Amino acid sequence: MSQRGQASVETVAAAMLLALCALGVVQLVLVFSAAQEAGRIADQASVLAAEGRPLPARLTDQAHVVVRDDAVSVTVDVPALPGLPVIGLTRTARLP
Amino acid sequence: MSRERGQVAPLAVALALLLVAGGAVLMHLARVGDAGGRGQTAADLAAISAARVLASDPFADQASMRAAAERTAAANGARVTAVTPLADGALPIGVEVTVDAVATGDVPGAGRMSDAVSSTSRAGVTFSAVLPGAGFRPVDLHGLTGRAAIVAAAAAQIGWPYVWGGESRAEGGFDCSGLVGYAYRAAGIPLPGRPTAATLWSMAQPAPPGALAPGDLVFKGTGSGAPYHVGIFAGGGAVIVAPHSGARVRFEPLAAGGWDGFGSLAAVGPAPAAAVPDAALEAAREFDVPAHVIASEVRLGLMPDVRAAARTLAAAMTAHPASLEAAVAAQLGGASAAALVLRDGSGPELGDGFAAEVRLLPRTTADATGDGALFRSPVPGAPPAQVRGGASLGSRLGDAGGAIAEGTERALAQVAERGSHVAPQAFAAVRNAGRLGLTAASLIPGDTGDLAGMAGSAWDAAEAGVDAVQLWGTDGLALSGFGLLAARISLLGNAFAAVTYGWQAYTARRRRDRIGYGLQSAGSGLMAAGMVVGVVVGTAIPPVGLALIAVGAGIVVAGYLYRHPGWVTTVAGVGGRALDLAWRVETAPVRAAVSAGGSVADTARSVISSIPTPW
Repeated sequence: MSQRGQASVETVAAAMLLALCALGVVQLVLVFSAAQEAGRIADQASVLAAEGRPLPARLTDQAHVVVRDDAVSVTVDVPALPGLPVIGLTRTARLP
Repeated sequence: MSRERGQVAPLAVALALLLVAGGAVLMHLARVGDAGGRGQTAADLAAISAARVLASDPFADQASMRAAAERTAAANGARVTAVTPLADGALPIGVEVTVDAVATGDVPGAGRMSDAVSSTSRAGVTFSAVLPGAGFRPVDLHGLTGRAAIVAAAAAQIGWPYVWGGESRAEGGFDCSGLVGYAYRAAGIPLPGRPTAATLWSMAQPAPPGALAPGDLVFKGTGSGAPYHVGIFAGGGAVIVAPHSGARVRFEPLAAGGWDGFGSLAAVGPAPAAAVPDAALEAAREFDVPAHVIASEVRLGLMPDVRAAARTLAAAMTAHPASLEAAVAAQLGGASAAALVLRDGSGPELGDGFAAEVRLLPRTTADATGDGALFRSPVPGAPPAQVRGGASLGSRLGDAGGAIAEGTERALAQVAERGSHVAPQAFAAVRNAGRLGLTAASLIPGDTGDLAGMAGSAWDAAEAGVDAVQLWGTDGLALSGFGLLAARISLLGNAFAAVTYGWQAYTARRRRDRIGYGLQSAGSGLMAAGMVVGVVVGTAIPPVGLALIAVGAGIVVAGYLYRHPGWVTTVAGVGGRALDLAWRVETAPVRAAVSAGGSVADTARSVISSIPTPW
């Protein structure tokens, strides 16, 4: 019995697996990027809050920023691949 | 047919393993990156926290600043490693805080890794002081009592305008008895009501002028029985007085003032046997300035001595007669220093008049050129990659492997620098991107790729050479965390390149290529050898190793040049033109001056022109 077909199936399966992995990597990169963004905004917002200054619109427009007496919480939406739910990623900085 | 099946399955497994391993490495890189971000936030907030302590107490000790920084850093998942107060001379201006944030995780091939990402931040404090809008200038009497306190309180008001009936700034100034009433009250000897000069005369025990002690009163118009003017004897033959409309509170010589009555209030107490000399008061008398200000300036180390302080303050008060704050700021060159002086001299009564503002300071460019492995690539060596048209698939893959190894190393070096200052990080990014670009360009088939590979090796030779010289006599280039991992990858890359070049030398048909590839193989081997100690021991690449890397990279460059003899002429030509240009630029001012000098200059110019250049 020829095994050429078997090899083709395996190739297709491997290709699909690779594509799936690639999509996973893309989603991971998106999550990582969102985490970086949240961290950057949290840093800037917490410094401004600690200095007693108001937050500029350019920060609050990019994320949901909550300033409390003791902390600043920043939530950004993680861009999701089609079919995946959009989740929020929150970074919190404790104020002095 | 079964051979085809066997080809697919191992490939799929290998790719899957590669993906898993790559994902694990990426995850740890992400953790390190995240730790860097958290660390920077922690450093920023810890610095602000420490600076707040400084803002509330400009002379706070380092321990209290560190305690505040540690609380904030710990709340943000980091640990303080250094707290350094910043000062401009004797003036506290801020604080620098360094923290470590740790990323921990398992990395295939590297085991359990725990990387501490160091972050530094600076927060500055600017002080401001506004003297009360109503009432007298507050003064810290520093425990003075009785007569000394009376004189000190009065001497602090030097420069204020006289206003008849006035006793506060809100009224525009003082009159003579208002000044006396304030000085006595500040010294803890309140006088009844709002005594006028005549009332004070009636309260005083007359005394001869020769028996006056500091704090006693001097009068004008006693012949009528109701004096119209009063001043405070300050000692040293001087009187502090709010003289008349249009003038300001000042020191006057007792002998020149027309004073005709002298007396002592019983509440002041007996005169001391001998007056304690007060250098600040003497200097204030000489230059007619507030004594408490110059005393504070010297006490804070902002002025070398009271006479210098009094002299410069007098000039500043002439330029800014309406505001002591502005005068002191002009004298000291900044409102922040003036605020500290006024706070120190005024004491707690300044109250809300003293304020401080905390701001994060921008990172300086000096940080970008500072010492330490943080700001430079941990591993200067890198496997030179070269691909020539017509090269075998094996050698092409080998070169690509070396280039990928180097690219990974550069990326790791970049990640290892995450969390450091932004400016150095950007600096390092540009540098690493440049080196990475050369590596990528070296994959281009043909001479272009070889040229890029040679440039990269020359870069490595220079970088390692500089490191070897700078670190000679030390333990060498420290390796830890991702720096160590990057060094390991670079070691493998160099070893790989040595083998690849060796194979190409073995299979080359032209003698020139055999020698050239041989040199490149030997150079790559030397570079790998230079890294072995550091990578195996895992602490640092010693200076000797750095020197080996530099020499090895130089040999690789020589190999490229041997294979491309035409480049030698080109490089020499470019170098010669560069040297010639440098010479012309360097000597341009001299030649311009010479040319302006007429016939003598002509002679000199001809001599200079006749000097042969070596290229």
